[in-house]
Amino acid sequence: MGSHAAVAAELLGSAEVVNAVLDDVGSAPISDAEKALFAFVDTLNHRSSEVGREDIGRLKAAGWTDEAIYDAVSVCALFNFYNRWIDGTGVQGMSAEAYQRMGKRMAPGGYAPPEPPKEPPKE
Amino acid sequence: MYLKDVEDHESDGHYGRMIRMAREAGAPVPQIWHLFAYKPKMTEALSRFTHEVMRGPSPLSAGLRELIAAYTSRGNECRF
Repeated sequence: MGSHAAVAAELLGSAEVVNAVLDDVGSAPISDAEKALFAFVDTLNHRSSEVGREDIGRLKAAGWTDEAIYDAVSVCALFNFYNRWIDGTGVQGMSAEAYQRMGKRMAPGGYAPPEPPKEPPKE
Repeated sequence: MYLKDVEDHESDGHYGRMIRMAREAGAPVPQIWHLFAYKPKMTEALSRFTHEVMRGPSPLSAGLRELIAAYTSRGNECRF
């Protein structure tokens, strides 16, 4: 389980659901709407040039809004950036325990670095 | 990692400080921190973008977005 699976398990409160989705989304205990969303992400990830209006139509029929689809596309696209960034520079994976610790920290804290300290007020 | 200059780069940015603190505490440094520490001006924008994509207002819960991230990485055979 990598860092984002660990964060997802923290936020969703279930490592079982996360592992089920990652192993075989078709049989995972999630809603049909969520299965449709993951099927779309799979197409986007592996055959993005094949994504067409009918894919979006299926998601809309499953109840997802334009904003939800936009956000799902953004997450998939961003993590393609991270996957290439990591593989191309040879960033090494960490131990399962380290990912668990990282997941616990990132679940509440998120990703933004702290704001830089403000200029002290002028006299 | 493959890029020694990137790994050894000393940075005063947020991630450079995190790397120094981890080293002083004898804790393992997640190597992705080196990628963030190398060009802070570039990666501070990336951190804020990532935070907004993953934690900003959305009809998708933060947990579902993390699961989409993990699913994407698994599809790309990236263990991260």
